[in-house]
Amino acid sequence: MKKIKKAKRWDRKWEPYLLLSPALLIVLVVMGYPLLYSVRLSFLNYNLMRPKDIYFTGFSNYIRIFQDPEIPKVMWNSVKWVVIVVAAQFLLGLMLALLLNSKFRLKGLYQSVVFLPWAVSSYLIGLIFKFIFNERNGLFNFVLQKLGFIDGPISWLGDTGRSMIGPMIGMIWYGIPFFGIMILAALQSISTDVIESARIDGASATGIFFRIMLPYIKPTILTTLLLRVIWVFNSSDMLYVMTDGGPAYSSSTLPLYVFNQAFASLDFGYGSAVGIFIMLLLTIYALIYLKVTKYHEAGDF
Amino acid sequence: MLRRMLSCILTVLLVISLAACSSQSGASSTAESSPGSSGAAVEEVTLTFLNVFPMDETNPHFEKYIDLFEAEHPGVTVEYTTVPWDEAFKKVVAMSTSNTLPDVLTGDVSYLLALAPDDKILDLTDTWKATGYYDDLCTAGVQSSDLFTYDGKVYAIPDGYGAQGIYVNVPMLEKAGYDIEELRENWTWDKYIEVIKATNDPANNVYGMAFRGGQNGFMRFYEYLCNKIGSDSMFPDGTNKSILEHPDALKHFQDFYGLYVDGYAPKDSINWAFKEMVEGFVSGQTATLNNSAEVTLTCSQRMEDDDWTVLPFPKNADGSKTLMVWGHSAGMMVSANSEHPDLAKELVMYLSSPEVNSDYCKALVALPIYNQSLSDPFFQEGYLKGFADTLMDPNLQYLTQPTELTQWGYFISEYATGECQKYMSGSQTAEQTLSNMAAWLSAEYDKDIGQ
Repeated sequence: MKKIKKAKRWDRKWEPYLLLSPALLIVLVVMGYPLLYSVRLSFLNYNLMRPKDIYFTGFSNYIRIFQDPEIPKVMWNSVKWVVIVVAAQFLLGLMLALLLNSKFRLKGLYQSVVFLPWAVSSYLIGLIFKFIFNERNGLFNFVLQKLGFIDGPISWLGDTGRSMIGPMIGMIWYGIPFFGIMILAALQSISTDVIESARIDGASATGIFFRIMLPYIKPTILTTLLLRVIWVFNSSDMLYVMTDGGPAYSSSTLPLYVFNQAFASLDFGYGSAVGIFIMLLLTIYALIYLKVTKYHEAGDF
Repeated sequence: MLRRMLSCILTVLLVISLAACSSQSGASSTAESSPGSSGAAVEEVTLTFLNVFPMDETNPHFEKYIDLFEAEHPGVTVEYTTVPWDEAFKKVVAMSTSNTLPDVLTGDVSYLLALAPDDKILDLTDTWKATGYYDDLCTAGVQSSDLFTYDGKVYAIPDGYGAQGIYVNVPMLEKAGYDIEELRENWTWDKYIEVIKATNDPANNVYGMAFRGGQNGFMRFYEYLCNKIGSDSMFPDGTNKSILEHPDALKHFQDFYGLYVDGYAPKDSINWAFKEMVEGFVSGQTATLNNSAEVTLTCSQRMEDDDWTVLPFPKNADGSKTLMVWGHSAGMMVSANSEHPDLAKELVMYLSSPEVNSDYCKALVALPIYNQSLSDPFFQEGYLKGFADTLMDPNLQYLTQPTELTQWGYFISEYATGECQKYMSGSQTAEQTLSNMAAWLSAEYDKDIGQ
């Protein structure tokens, strides 16, 4: 009797692990192995063009990151890219969600149309925006000229000072629906009783928004912002298609720079070192973000 | 009890399904054998063929000849797939690192240099020589053998040669007062630059040239500089001192890139590569375009016949040798991880045999690799005659690329592009740009060749 009980306890103890093991195994193989392999590569002199010259090189690949004269510019571009794109996507997405949270005619149709960008391939969006921002035949210059804002065509993609504007606008347009969907879902989960009670108590529209709605949707906003910053930081397809990081690295962000450098030089040791460096940067960002925003307390009322 | 039983069953099912997945994928990657009905078994073999240079004109060619190859080899299936050129190199490199290269693939010299040193592709020297066609290789092929060999061995069979020519917009040149036939008689670098300047009319959205400021744009300057200083290589002294350190290099650099800086090309062309340049020319935005023969296809489709023509590659005014880089569009290679290397080699030899190659070059609008095909009237008439004549000009000399530098591909596609763009955008002086590039080349020379 005692033996059976003991066996039962053992079963109970290991059962969750046993059931989780296939999924964990897949995660380890698909994510863990490449990650560990990248860490290993980052400490090697590993250039595919010199296959017979592979050896352990310590931290020299990491030291190269700080000696690369393009890295400060590329990192500053990454900061501008993330801050401007995510901030604009968030604000416009929030406005979209607030609009869609009200009742109006043909709301369903309008809702499905505004969410369309999210369903389109970013590569395709890049091509379309590249055409829109074309110096001579682009729609953007045409409209600006017709409205009298500019006298002659402006090179948006070929000027170092303006080359990020086109990809940023494309990326903002692409990402608004994501924020819209997430925030709308959070808004719709707020009980109407709470809002109505506030109204009866004489709360203004701004008061309701800042004191009731915002605290309710704060967990969603925090999670979405965290995810979106990481995604936008790593997303370089729009830049790749529209400018390929040029001219003179003026629109190159860290992931795009690594991609171009690693694949053009086939120096996977250096490429892996920058990849690990990016991962560390994003991890530090996530930890600070969670601490500063008091993420674990969000949603407690 | 029921929950325990259920969880045990679920666990067993999961493990079985995972095991089934892995065994299934393993089975699909191996060649299958189908038993013959009457004892004579026909082995079912699948060869994979990746074309990195797909075109609407050449895809049907490959499909046609692959069908014929399959008909001659019962049981053999060739899976023909393509990947756009711009994305292909990165994809092929990723495949090579995971040993999943297709049996046969196409690629230019950059592919060869990425794959051959690491033994990712097979030596085809003996196979090619055994066909008997090797001795009939045209002069352009012999002169530029660096493009399909590594360490003295053939690793790729070239597809067709494309000399460069200067595409010109005839009405624009005539409006500027030029007679095309007169230009043809006296077509030098100086004349070419004079035409660029004379046709430039930014107020009416017309520029003198389609400038290549993006990837590999440095090659145009390399050709220009070599012709100006009369050098047929990057390291003419056999030391780490490149021609970028030549006393006249700075002047020629400023002259060449000055065409962009001084407004003879659209401002956007700082990022332009092949597609954008061709689009700039066929849309009437630029009066001239320096490019290879395959652009004739696009011009034929997008422009009126009388609106464009091709002038030869410019000569030097002093009558010295014309130095030009030419090459095959893509060569055919056999992967070292092929399970059927002999069959894969047979396919490559079949697709590059004189008859099939000639047909391919007609579709691609390139010059065939064998002498016997060059006498075909197709290559001796029309726009192609200009390119064929360029390649057969006794005063033409093949301009070598320092492919012995393992990072040469990186230099022209990334490093030099970034440095030259810094000059073009005004964020770096010409002196600094040349000095940076010269220092980079010297350092790489020391690494790969030694002082």
